[in-house]
Amino acid sequence: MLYEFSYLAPRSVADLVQALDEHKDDGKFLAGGTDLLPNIRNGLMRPRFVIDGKKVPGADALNGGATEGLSMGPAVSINDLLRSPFVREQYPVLCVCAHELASHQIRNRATVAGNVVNASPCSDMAPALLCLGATALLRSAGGERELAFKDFFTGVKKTALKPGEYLERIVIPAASKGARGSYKKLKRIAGHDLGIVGVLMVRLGDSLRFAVSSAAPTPVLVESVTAKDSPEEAVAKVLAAVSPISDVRGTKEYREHMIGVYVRRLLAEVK
Amino acid sequence: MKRNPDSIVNVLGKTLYVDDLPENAGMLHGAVVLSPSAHGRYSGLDESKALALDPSVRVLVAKDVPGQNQLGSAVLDEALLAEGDWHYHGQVLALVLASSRVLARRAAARVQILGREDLPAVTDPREAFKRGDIILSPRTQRMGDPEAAYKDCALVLEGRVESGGQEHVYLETQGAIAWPEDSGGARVISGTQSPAATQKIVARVLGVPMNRVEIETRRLGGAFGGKEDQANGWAALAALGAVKSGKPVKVYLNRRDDMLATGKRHPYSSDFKIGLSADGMILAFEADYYQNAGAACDLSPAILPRTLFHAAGAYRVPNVRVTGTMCRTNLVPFTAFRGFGGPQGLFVMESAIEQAAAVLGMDPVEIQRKNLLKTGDSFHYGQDVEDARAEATVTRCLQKARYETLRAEITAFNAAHKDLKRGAAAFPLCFGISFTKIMMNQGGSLVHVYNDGSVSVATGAIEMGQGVGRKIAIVSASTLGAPLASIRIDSTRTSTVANTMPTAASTGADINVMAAKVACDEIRKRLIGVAAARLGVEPSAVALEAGRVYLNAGAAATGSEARRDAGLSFADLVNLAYEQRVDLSAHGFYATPGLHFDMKSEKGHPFLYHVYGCAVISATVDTLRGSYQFDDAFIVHDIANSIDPIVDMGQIEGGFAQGLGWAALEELKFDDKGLLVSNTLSTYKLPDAHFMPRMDVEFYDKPNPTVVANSKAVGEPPLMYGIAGYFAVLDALKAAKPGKKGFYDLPMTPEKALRFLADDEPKEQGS
Amino acid sequence: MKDYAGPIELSLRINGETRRVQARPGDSLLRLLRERLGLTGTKCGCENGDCGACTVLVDGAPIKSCMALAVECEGSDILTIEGLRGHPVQKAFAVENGFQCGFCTPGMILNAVALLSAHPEEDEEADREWMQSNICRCTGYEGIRLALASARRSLKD
Repeated sequence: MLYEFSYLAPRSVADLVQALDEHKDDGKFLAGGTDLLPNIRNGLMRPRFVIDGKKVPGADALNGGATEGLSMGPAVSINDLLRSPFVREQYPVLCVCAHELASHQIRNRATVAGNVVNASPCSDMAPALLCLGATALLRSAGGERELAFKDFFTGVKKTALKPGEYLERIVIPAASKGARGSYKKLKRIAGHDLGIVGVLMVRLGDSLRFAVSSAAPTPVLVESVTAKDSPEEAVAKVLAAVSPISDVRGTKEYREHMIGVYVRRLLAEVK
Repeated sequence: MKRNPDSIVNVLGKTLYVDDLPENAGMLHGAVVLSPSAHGRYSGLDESKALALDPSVRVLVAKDVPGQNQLGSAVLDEALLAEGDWHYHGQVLALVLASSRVLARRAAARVQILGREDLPAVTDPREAFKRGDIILSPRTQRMGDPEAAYKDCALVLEGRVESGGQEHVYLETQGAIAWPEDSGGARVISGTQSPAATQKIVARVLGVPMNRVEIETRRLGGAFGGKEDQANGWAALAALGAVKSGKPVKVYLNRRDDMLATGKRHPYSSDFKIGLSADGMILAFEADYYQNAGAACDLSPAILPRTLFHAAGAYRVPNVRVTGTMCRTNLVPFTAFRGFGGPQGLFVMESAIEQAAAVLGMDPVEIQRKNLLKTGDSFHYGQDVEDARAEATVTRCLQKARYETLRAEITAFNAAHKDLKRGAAAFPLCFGISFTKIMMNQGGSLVHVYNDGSVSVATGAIEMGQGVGRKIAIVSASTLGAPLASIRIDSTRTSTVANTMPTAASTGADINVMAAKVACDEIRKRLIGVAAARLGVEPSAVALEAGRVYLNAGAAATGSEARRDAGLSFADLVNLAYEQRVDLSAHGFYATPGLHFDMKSEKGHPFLYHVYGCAVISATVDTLRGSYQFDDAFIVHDIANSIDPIVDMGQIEGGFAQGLGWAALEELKFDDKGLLVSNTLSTYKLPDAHFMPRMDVEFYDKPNPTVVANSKAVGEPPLMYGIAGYFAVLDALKAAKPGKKGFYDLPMTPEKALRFLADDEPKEQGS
Repeated sequence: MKDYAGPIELSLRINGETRRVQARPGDSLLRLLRERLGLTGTKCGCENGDCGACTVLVDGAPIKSCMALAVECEGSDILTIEGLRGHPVQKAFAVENGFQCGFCTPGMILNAVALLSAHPEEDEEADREWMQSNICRCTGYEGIRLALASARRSLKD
């Protein structure tokens, strides 16, 4: 690593909260490490303390039942999610997105929580959480609070997490059970690649929700599209919500064009 | 099939690459400080923060070089360490030494550039050309008179063609370890394809004669041309560090530094003009190639002529004029990469044919077939076409691919599908084998037979996965009559075999197998003499085969008296020779015969022979997304007599994968200021297992009498089959946009494909 | 709470043996294996999680060892190429020429070992998904595909 740091492995929620509180300014929460470690290695982040949240009992818990929704601790990996029969049956949209994330090996380490806390515009899990109406349970020394994911992302790699606070649990409401969806992710290669753009459409009853990745400073949720909209109206609504840029993977124009293609295609799949 | 011991060592993870060798106590690690922009000036470096980090830290800059601070060979235009200015993003400004790899990296990150002033950067070769910023002089090859020929043409077309660069992405990054020697020189283990060239550069940098520098090269974790000239600098830096510190020094790049600081395949921008008869005979071809050479000469002058030699591809073109220019830009010095300028030239010709076929309303395959080279034709550089295999391989490949049926299937598919379109294309290959620089076609060997019967064979060849060691071992064993298991291929050292050439230009096996064979023949002659004396027969009656001595060697042929085992093993015979004070070592030397080339007239006989072949590739495009997948690849490849079929098959498949990556995936991107933006393996995508089509490869096995074992070189040629991938996608795109003029901007990418489908541009037309 | 500041001593179970080793908290598992334990069979190709040359198995699952801290792996079973002594997958790679330069081979083999243990029956989709984690620049993947098929057959016999 380009920089030295100390490693803390709290074994209880209390210790974790205390460690995060003590190192508000110089600590980083470690989950799967698939973003954090390259960032430290390349000098983009310079924490003095890396606080491993995986050793707290229950951190890898993935709970769900007949009446409740789904709740996931910060150490639940993408592959844990994909392997869960409960998730596959009740929340297939999560699997649809998880399946598109990086490569199999990365999914063994990368966590659902990490994928959203990094708040990368190209997060593949964020669209699912946004469309399923998921909430974040955030904990800090100051206590606990709940925040809807649609209020969680505040900018490029920025979230509503305050210093010393961590994402203790991701909760998906029981109301979203059985929601069906399809995620179209444009990549340069069929295999492992970050998205050029991704569009998720979720249907729950009569409502339609779209979420778009890699097309704005944050993952974007669009709730204004209705089943009555024509494809062109739907495309216009989604495009109005995003602001893609040009980068090494693709140009702004390409992204906008493909959002249109995907929205139309997703709508066609419903009909 | 039995595998060589190399395989076993490899799958056990025991192969020692540069960074795997046990480290000596006290070894220092080197890290480099790289230039932060494509062009700039600076007044100096502030090393204080780096030095403060640890007492072991030491910073070396240009003024610390005891000899010449110069890496160039054809032109002396490339400093090892920058002196006051830099000319590309990733140029080495300083070498930082420290007691551990991490400390060295941290210290390097703390070196500050003083008085930095960024200067305008040129990234476009045509712009460099306009400014007159070229390297050496343009080169032109011609045959006949294209200007006159156009008058008889039914169709004359002009066009512009772009092809992008390519990262080698050898999985083992560049590196070297150097030990200081009391002679003032150094011993270096280097990941180089060319130990002798590395030796020369290291000696020059240290200011000592070559005999004080020894370079050793073990197995490389891939190279593909990227460690031909480009390995020299890292070896020189390690040696400089060793001599200045008195300690062993390892310089081993991380991936990011490697991607920034090392050369890649040349991007080209080209113009062509082609003239054809109404029935598709190519009557004239002209092209101007603007080679983006980058900021220094490197191997560009050797690469450019290969573009010119391959300008007409596998086709008979009676009137040719092709000109190539090396344009100096503010990008990393571009360098050798499998194909060495050939692919760029071939892509231009195939683009011209595609465009012509569209205007003439023909399948490009028709034009390709009509114009294939035949024995007795002439290449535009004066060499006669001998033993042409273009028709044989193309015919076989089209048959294998069931081309007529495939076309019909594609037409039916395209009629039935709106959003998905299929396409196919063929690529006939003709690739010249030999270094285009005649003097480089030489090689040496040193063979020792030890008195226990084991054999060590040293040559100039570098094993980097292409199986050259395996080929040398097979031919050495059969020449000596020794068991294959008794042969060990030694690491390549400049003190064992001197003045060797790079393992490059696909010639590694041709030249080094021959050099080994010459030495083995000599030792075999001596051993047979010993055996004959012991058995009381004429030498001609003795045979040595697979570790046994046989009597009545000619018996099999004449049938007079049965051939029989003489009761002597190879090891017994060797020991006998040893006791009789017979020399059991021999040096071999081989210079490829018959090569000549006159630079002034640009005519001669630069190639020993040509490799032919053909690929037919089909692809399916999703026209809504622009994305595509390759369905099938049929390849018939002119391997002649394969020395090791499993090795050769791997070379064909792997070369093709790299070519398909170059043609339809890998996008080397610089921004408008010349900064490399595809600087990680997440921004620069490589073919993965999913990307490759189903492959059906067949050997065309007619023997090649011009070289040892009647074989043909295999390293580079298969890469160019990837070109068919570009045109297969274009064919599918045109099915979605009938009549629209094609575009020739390699690599094909989904975004470019989509742009083609979205825009309404001019239709095909001739002049 | 355990605080691992500065040099630390780790106890790791590697290839069936417990190894005590001096480390720094920032040491990736890759660096620890290579530099502190001399297990150089695990290769460093990109240190960015893109290439898979550093794949090892942690509790049976393939991970990129450049993307895990060594200290996180205390209590886990780590398997590197040195711990596979003549596994059928290794033999298959040697026989089918599942490599050329050999640099990606250890990671590729470990990934394949885990894949075949999770999916003993032929499963094209699983193969595709798992094998995408590892890049080979030499073979065009054909030899690797053949090696995988042959290993699967011999593991079933």
